[in-house]
Amino acid sequence: MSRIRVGMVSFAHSTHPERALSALLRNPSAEVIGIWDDRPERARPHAEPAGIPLFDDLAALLLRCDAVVVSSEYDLRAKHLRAAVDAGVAILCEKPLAPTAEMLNDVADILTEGTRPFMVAFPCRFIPAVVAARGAIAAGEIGRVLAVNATNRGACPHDWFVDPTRSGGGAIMDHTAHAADLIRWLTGAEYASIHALAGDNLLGLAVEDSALLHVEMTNGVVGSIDTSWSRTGAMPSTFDITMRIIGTEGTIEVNALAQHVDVYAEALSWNVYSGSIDDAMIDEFLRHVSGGSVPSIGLPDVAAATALSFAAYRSIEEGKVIRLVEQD
Amino acid sequence: MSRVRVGVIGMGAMGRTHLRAWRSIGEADVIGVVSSRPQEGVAVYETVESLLAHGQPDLVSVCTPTDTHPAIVRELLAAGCDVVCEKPLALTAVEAAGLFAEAESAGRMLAVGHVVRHFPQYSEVRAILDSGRLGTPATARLRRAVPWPAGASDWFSDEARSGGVVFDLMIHDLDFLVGEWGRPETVFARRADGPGTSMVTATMRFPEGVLAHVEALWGGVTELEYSCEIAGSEGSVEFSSRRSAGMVLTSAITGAMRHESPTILDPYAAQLRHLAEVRRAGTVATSDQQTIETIMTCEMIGRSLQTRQSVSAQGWGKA
Repeated sequence: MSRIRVGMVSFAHSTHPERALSALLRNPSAEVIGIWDDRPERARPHAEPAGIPLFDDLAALLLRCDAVVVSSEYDLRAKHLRAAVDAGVAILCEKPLAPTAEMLNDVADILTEGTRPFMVAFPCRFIPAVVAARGAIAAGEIGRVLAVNATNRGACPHDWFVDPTRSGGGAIMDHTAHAADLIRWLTGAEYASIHALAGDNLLGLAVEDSALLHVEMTNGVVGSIDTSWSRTGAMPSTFDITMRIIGTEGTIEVNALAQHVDVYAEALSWNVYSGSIDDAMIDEFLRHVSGGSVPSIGLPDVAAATALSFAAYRSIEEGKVIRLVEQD
Repeated sequence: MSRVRVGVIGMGAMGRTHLRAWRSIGEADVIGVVSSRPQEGVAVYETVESLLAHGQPDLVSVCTPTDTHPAIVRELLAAGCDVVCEKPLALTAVEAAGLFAEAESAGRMLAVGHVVRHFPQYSEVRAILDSGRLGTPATARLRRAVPWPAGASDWFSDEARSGGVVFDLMIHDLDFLVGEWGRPETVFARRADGPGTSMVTATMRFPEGVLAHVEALWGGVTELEYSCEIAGSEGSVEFSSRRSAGMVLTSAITGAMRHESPTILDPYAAQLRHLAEVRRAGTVATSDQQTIETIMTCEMIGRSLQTRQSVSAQGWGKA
């Protein structure tokens, strides 16, 4: 069986393309045939050790691919997704899709034209504890879900991430989508309204470095998301994913990084042992590429998660609750 | 790729676990189980003979009470089957070594379900020890507890059949230690028993000087608990099932709290997939010295509990 030829479009994101590349290299059904980056110096340290050619022409790379992984700056995603759709290749794209509501609409139009599988890189849906929690909810173990309080805190990646003309904002743009997608996935409902608070005490940047979002779902579930770049100091991890799920008959606590071994050597470090969610996500994407099937994580999911960020900024600007859709 | 025809003997908790794990790995067909009760969705045979005669399995999981393991393993090997036997393989090291010898002369695979070898948290600890980041390892503290095990005719409670909490539960942590540092040179153990509770603590010293404290408990808990702490001259490593649970579920319906550490690849599936690979590669019947030495360590602990004195490795293991 011939392997799926995968190209990587941009290493603009600070960690995600590197993790996707490692997972692709471990996967027997993929062959990474090339990397393109408008700033090749970002991709070179990853391409050269793996013996992967760097392309200086995106179109030339797309011609040779069955599938691409898109990890460019948010303001360039529309352009790169356009090129990938025109080339007829399958797409795995990082979240969020765009830095502004207008560009999100454009991207949605482009992707709707696509005929090949499109999947969003939401690896958090593959966290075994999240999957277990979803199973427990479906089995009725905590009754009806009333509230989901989540955190997806991180460390500020700086660079273009803190330039609002490119990223659309700060911590809210960077760290809303994963938790927002999980709440939507676990509750099976859409976002009805949002209220957001922002702060800038951590880094003193032009964009917010801390934020608390309060949401309500169309089925009445209440939720909150902490998107702050607050993994500072000697914190052993640069991000977290936690959820407290409160039901009528019980509660579930999910902590994606809890399953680690504490190593106290040079400093405290955490060796997480629950398995690679990148491998699981890449594997799922490749299966859809070879089967031509529709991935379970698609445009409506990433569009909802991205639009929530824009509504958060409107809430901060206007100092009030923003309604996204009418409640049932 | 040819699929392996699998049989499972015994449908208690471990038999059901094997059945589920075999079905999940996608390279095996479970052709039948041996059970005295009807089972859903699988052919049920009343005896091992009828499973062998009608099911013609390539490989069989033995998940029966411990005292029945040796006779069933022998019967399967004689019939030309590869065998995965739940731990403990036998209640004496001499008997375990004899079973491996029989597998060897039959040219069949005999593997033992020491599933903790496939738990990723213990693999992490092994990798950290191997890396040398902790310097010279000095002390180890391992703990394991389960609710009092329920078995047909309460066979777990009969120590002549199950070996008690040492052979049935502590064996996991002893196997980890033996795998890391060999068989202990000195062992001392104490037990404390109450209604519905059996606890054993064992302290031991390994040939390279590592001291280990191991606690095993039946009863007194509502779910499986385990922890591991190892300290060396340059650092230490630790985890516990309670603190490192990815999901904690508190249910008002059951009134219980559950700590779970789900992994992308389930350890039982990882174990069986590994065995299927070993089998495909044709490397059969490699005698598992670690398993034999682990059982020997259980016997040393048993002797210490009996004599209330420390037990030295000298004089053991000549068989």
